[in-house]
Amino acid sequence: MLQSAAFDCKAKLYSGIVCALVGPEMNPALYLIHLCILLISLIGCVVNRKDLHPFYSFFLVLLSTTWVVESVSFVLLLYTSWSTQIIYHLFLPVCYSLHALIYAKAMNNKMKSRIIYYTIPTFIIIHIVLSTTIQPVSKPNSYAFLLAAALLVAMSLAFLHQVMKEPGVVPIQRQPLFWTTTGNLFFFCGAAMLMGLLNYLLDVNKPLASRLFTINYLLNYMLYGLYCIGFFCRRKWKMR
Amino acid sequence: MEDAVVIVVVTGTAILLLLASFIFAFMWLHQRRNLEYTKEREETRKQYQEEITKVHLEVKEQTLDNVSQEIHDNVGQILSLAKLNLGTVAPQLQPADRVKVHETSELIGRAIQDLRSLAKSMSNDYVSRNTLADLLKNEMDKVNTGGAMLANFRLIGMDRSIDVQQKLVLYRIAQESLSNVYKYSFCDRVEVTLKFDPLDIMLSIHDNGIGFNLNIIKPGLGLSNMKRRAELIGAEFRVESSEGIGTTIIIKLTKS
Repeated sequence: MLQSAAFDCKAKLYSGIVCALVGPEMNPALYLIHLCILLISLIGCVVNRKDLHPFYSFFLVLLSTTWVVESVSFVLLLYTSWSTQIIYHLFLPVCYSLHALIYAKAMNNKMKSRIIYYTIPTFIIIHIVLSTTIQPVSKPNSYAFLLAAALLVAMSLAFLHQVMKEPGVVPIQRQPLFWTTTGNLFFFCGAAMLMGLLNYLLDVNKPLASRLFTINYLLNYMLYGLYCIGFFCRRKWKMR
Repeated sequence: MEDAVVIVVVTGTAILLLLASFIFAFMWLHQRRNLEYTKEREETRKQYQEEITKVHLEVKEQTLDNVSQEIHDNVGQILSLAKLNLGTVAPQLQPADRVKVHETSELIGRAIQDLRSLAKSMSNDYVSRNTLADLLKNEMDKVNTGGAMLANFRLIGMDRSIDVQQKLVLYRIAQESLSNVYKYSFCDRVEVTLKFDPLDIMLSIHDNGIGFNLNIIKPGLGLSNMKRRAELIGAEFRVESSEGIGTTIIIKLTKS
């Protein structure tokens, strides 16, 4: 998903060149590792579906959609010269809505839950407006991504606050949502900051900016790695 | 190129360190909060249990008080009237019948006395008006009157007045213990000791009966109730027993 934000930077780096989004700058090995971790988390979600109740269906749709989008994007970037921006324009609202639905369901406070539900149509409308005016589908949807990141960070913090305020019987390390929320918090904070940093570096040191894009892969590994931990954390391992 | 590698490595390490610190800090805080929560819940549960026991005891005491009053005012009066009637009828009867009526009158008199004694021991008023030593002494006298066993009461230290609630609980525990001794111990001697120290009061009920193995026989409802009552007034409750030697129940109330 975050490729869209990164592509924004890459597009600026190689503006005017169609193959800029692919080219020698995309590291297929790092991208493949990212896809593998994403696939493991998807498998983990399916295998541990009972432990993920009632969020299983949301996670399943979110991860499978992300995996399809990232794989298609990978193939397009590697073998064609087509732009992948439109995919991310379509994917971001879906991704945000699923994340928001998970948090809305996880919140104990009805008011917070309702506010999260309201943000879904609001975000979709804003995204449509942005995609038709300021950042059309041919350009990366960075403003919409920043908005989604800010909202999801706020939801993550609200959820962690709730966990801290209402202690339960289950230890925190055995709560899947704690791990996925921690992943979201770090990923969206990191991605937003990275986007700002790269945009600044583009004007100062373009080659350095393109190299620093590797951090985006690290953030993705961390995100889906934490998702994997979250999906497997409730599993009872049988020792032989 | 090298700069980029360094930046990526440093940033990656920083992110991972930050993440690890965040996770550990959150887990630590959450665990601490969980412990506090568990402690609070345990405290509330204990308070609730104490409250329930207190209410239960109050209801029981009220019932005993009502029964005591009923025995004294109703049954006692009826029996007294019956005795009076027999007394008025007796002079008109034949000498042989007169003896029978006289014996019946004596039996009714004894029943009245026993009922009065029972009513007294049940009454809260009676408990609050007498000292614990006196109450226990009376109980022992009753046991001795029964003749099934020899009861001995020992008072060590100066008898002093204690809180009515505490006195009531100690007295009821002693009554319950004596009832258990009577029913299960098969002893021929029972000794009740009340010891007053400057800082605490100790009540012990010892019998030389069959005893029981504490590891095999789990405390029944009676013992559990006694323990709960003792805990309610902040007293320590202990049972010592050996097969063939006897059983001792010790309640130690420390002055708060």
